[in-house]
Formats: sequence, structure tokens, C-alpha cells
Amino acid sequence: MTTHEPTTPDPTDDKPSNDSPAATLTADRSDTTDSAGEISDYVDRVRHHLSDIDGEELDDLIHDLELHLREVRAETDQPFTTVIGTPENYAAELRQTAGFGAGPPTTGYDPGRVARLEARVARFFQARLDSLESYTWGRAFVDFLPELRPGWWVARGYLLAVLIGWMTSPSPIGPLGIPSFGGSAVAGLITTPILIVLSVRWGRRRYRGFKKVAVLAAGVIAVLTGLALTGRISDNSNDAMYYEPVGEYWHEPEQDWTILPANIYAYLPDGTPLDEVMLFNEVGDPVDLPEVGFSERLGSTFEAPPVTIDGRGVPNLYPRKLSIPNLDPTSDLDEQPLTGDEPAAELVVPAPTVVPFPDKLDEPDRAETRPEPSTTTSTVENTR
Amino acid sequence: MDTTQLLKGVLDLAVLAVLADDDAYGYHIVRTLRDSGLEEVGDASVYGTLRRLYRSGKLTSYVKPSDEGPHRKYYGLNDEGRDHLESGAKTWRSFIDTMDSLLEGATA
Repeated sequence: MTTHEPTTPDPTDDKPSNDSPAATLTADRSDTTDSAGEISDYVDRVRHHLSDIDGEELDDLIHDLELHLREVRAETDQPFTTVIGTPENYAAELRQTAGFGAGPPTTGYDPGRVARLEARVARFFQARLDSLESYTWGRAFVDFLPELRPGWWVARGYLLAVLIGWMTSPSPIGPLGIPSFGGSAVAGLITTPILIVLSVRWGRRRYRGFKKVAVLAAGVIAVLTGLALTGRISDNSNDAMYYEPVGEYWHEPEQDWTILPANIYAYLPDGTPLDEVMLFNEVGDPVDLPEVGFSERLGSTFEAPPVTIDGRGVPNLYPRKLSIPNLDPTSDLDEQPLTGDEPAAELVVPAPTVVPFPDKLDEPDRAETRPEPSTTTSTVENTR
Repeated sequence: MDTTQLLKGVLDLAVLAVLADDDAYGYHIVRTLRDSGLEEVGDASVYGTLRRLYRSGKLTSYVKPSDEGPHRKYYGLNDEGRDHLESGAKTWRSFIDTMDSLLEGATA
């Protein structure tokens, strides 16, 4: 008997119209889902025993078997194993008569079980996808999904590196967002790309059985790590937003209010009170007192500071107004709470770069006539 | 000796013979072989033989969609397959004649 490669396709030789023979099988609606599942189970086990055979030829062999089983089921309700033998035996006989060599040695555990489970899960999702594809946008989306897979492989590797960074380093994510390893950001620069490359390798090779389960588990762990990561990020950003609002400006309490006054009252040497002074320190920063809102020391609440016409708060305008009139016995203090009608435009705010005049003081006379600290405190009293 | 041993050598010829008259789908070929007396032929053997003959260029294959029932995959002889059947049949007959005369002498 002569055997040689097939000649160029005969005109009457038609392959099934779809790419996959199995697609034409499921395209017919004459099967009940039960028998389709039964056929798939048997076929999967046969396919497993013929896994060394080239893909296209294997597909043809399997397609023949599927059609055969369908005819069998149409004739009888007996289990397939009774009618045509076990999948293992069928595969062996098929292999032999079809002219392929002896297959790979069978191992102790039942690989068919994992294959059947995979197939069942795949069929479940395939059914969902099929219903999705009936919409044109669904088809475009589903066709696009395979392009995302390499991105998922990279993300998986990166997230696993983040997890290892968490487990081995106090500061898990180093510069540029690359996870550290063993406490070292430099080591992380080496291990992270390795993990990403490994993950891409896992994605490109199709594993079966236990290896496939291991890769899936790694993917689940990576997803969980990613969720935990986003949880941490949102926590940190919340911290950054936590400031005490005073009026319309943000105030960062960093000074020890026990040694600073709660309010400042200014007087001219002759005793004339200065209703509004703006105080700056030696480098031009506004003098800002830390107590905001309700002042325990003063027993009343500070008004919101005035704002400039462009909305900036003015924290260094003294004395700061209190909402309850000050019960200071020195009645020459004129306390008037600010109302909302105060036009902000009357306020002239010097530019922050202005250097206050004390630095430029060149008049010795003035320095001498500066009031003694004790003098000023005698006329200014905090309410107790 | 049961027929399985004999069958292994000639299943190719049997399959080609079934297809000589008309194209047929796999299940029908199996049933025809069984009905004609080859009860021990296994389903897998028939399909394996079909695939091997197809790969060696002696058969055509096509799917015939059916309106009321399931679609079926048909196999048929091409010219090379017909030639092979013819030469195989000649070989077979001369072999049978040889065996017949041997057996006649031995069992007579």
C-alpha cells in the first residue's frame, strides 16, 4: 500500500465552514444539552490521550468522533463506554489504525478529570460569550479581549512583585513605583523584571493540569494584591486631605499653642489701640497663631479671618476678632465682630515679599521710644 | 483465530469497498461493515482507517449540512482511491485463491 502526502485539495473536498469543527457541532440545535455534555466529556478524555498528535489532524479525529457519538446517542441510550468502549481504549485503537505511534505513557492520576473540569468551565463561559456576541458591540468587545492578555501578564508579574515587596521590605514600593525586595530597592529593580518576564512566559505557554491551576492561583493572588494596593492608596490620599479648615483657608497646626498667645493686641505708645495690624516675622512670613475656632483659653470663638478680594484668607490680622465681645476691663479696646458686609476690597494686603520695617530700622530714636514690653502688657489683658 | 487478526490487514480494502458505490458518512460506514458480517470491527478502527486513507490522498471529505437533522461528514473515493481499491481487490483475490488452494489441500 502506498502512502504519501495528500495531493492538492480535491474540488469536492470541503472542510467545515467554521474554523473549528466543534463550532459546527454546537451550531446545530438538535442536541439536548445533556447529550452534548456527555459527548464533550467522552471526547475530552479521548483528546487527552491523543494530545501528542498534531492539532489540525487531532481536530479532524475528534470531529469524526463527536459526529459518531451523536449518531450513537440517536440510536441508543446506552452509555458510550458500553457501546464503543472506554475513551482510553478508543483512543488507543484510533491511534493505531490511524497510523500514529504509541502515545505518551499514562500517569497514575486521572488527567481527564482536570481536562473535563476545564472544558465544563470553558463551555459555561463560551455560552455566556456567545449570548454576548449577539450584539455587534459585544462582538467587538469580545474580539478585543485577547489583546488585553499580554497586559494582564505584565500586571500579574508586577503585582506579585509588590506582594513580595510587602512581605520582605518595610517600605515595599521603591522609586518609580518599582517594588523593593528584601528591604532593598536596588534588589527590587532586579527581581521585579524577572517576575514580570516569568508571568509573561506563563501566559504564553498553555499549561494543563496542576501547572495550570498554579498559574491561575498566582493570578488570583495578584488580583487580591492589586485590590489591597488600591485600598492603601485611597487611605493615604485621605490623610493628605485632613486639614482643619478656618474660614476659607487651610491651617496646619504645627506650633505649640501653650507658649504662644491666643490673640495679639497692638497699641501705639500713647495708648492708642490699633484695631487692625498685620504682623510679619523677620523673613516676611505672616505671624500666625495656632488656635482656631473655639479658643479654650479665651472662652469664645474666633471669627473667620477676613479674606482678600481674590479669596485669600488673611491669618495675620490682629487682634483676631472673637464672636463674643471680649470682657476685657480695659474698655478702651474696641471689639467689633466682623460681619459679612465688610467689603473685602478695603483690605490692602502687602505682598509676602515685603520685608517688615523692623529690619530696616535705621532710626535710633524710634528704637529708643519703643515701648517697654511691660508697658504694653499693662494695658493689654487677656480675659480670664 | 478470530477475524480481528485477519481484519487488521484488510480493513483499508473493506472501507474502500464500502465507498466504491457511494460516498458515506462515518456512522453509516461502520454500520454497513457490521451488517455485512464484520461484527467485531471496532468503531475506532474504522475512523482511524478513514483518516489514514484520507491523509494518504485516497479519499475526499466534506460536510453535508442537513435541514431537518444534524449535519454529517462524508467521505468518498477520489481517483487515486479508486485505483487503490482496484489494485487492492486484485491482490486480495489472488491471495484468496492461494489460501483456498492451500487450505483445500490441507483440510480435504
